[in-house]
Amino acid sequence: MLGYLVRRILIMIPTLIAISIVIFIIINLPPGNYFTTYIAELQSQGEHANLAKIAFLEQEYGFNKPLWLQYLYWTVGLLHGNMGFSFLYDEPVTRVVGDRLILTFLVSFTTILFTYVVAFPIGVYSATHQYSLSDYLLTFLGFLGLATPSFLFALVLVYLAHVWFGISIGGLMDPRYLDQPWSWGKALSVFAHIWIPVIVIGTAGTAAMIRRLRANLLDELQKQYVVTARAKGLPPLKLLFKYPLRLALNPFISDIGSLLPHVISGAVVVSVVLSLPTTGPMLLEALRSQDMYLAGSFLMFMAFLTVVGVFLSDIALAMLDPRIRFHATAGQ
Amino acid sequence: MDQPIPAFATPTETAAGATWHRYPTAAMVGDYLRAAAGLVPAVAILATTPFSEAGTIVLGGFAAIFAIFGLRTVLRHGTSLEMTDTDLRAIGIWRRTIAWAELDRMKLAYYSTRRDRKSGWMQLELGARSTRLGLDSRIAGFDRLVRRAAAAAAARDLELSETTIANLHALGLAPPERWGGR
Repeated sequence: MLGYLVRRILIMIPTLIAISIVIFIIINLPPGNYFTTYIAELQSQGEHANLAKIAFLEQEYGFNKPLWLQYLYWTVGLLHGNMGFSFLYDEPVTRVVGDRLILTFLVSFTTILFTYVVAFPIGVYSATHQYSLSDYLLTFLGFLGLATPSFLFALVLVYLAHVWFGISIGGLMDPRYLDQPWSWGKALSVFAHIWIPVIVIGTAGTAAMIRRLRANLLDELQKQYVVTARAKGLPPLKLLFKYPLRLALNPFISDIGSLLPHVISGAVVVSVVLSLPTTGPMLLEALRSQDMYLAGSFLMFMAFLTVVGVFLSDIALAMLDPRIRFHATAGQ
Repeated sequence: MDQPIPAFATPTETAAGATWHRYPTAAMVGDYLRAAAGLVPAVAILATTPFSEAGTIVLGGFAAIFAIFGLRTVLRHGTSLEMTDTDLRAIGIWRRTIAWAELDRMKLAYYSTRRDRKSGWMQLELGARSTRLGLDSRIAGFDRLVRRAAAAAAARDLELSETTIANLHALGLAPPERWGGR
């Protein structure tokens, strides 16, 4: 296992370097930079920019230096924990991201928990009661969840909450707690608001997980060893939990790595619709305004989460089921 | 059928019927390089760059993992295994003996860093009372060691994991009937 751990860590390093290069190139692909966009915006409004200050900032942040040198400054800064400066918010990136990141993690973690807690019992029930009325009903609900775009679901909920209950369900807390330090009142307000975004963001993932768990478990349940165990009189629940369910879970363990960034990035549009103070809308705005350090550092952070997540899920999979799989194909 | 594990090197046989198993130097060079590739940059960055407490712990943790791996590589490189009918003896820097008649643990795992699970290696873990011995498939005569260990496990009526049974099947070391496997 130690050899596997070492090899996996060594694979992570070039992966992260390659990702950082791609992110840096993509962010620099559009012509100009934040300042040229800013000047153009001011000019379109008939205002004048302080060109001397802008020239100073360009010099200060190395925008007039070769691209490779800018990349080097950026990555060395990242290694030191310095994510750079957001020109859009006029603050260091770490401070801009700060609270939003905590709220994003809270929403994402609760969504993942919701997905697992709801999908597992339904998936197992659906597989063990194949072609029953309840299986058909749950399958229908699953397809409905898969087919409904999250942002549309959010809009419908916002509309219904307003028409039926006369309340606004946007945001993650009461407006009076915005920009306030954390307190019990603020935390309770967050918990009172969080269930809507969790249901909206988690529905599609839950439906997909129900479908996959049902399919995987059905595959396992039809294998010979299950038939043999049944014939030998092993109690159904013990048989289900001891072997088929454990094996049906392997794809989910290997998916853990991509779950977190998927939930964060997939929630951007929903966050905009529900006015959530999470990192999604911030990233969108940073990309639109070419706020290089904010967008780049945050994307790099997400890539880091993905790579670490995949690493952890690979380790978990290697610990749980280190067996040869002949004819295994990519993606399994 | 795909063969994800490279062919095993041949061990040295003695006149008394024992076999000697060593890790080939070529296989160990890769591990030394891996240990250095992780340890040197981690220590260099830690020594030259001020980090937060959390950063130091993470990087220090990585450095410790690579240091332990390097140490294990040295131990493996400096150790030979002698397999007889009665026991398996590790001779060299770290001496241990596992008597086949006392075998109480056997685990055969397969690891691969590739998505298609090819080009991997196997890891055999044996235990008898408080003695533990771990070796991987790059050691000369790995198949013979596994076959002997499987026979000892069968004789001792050991309960093997599903994974171990599947990996024994994959190696073509037909395990006894009671391990039927899948």
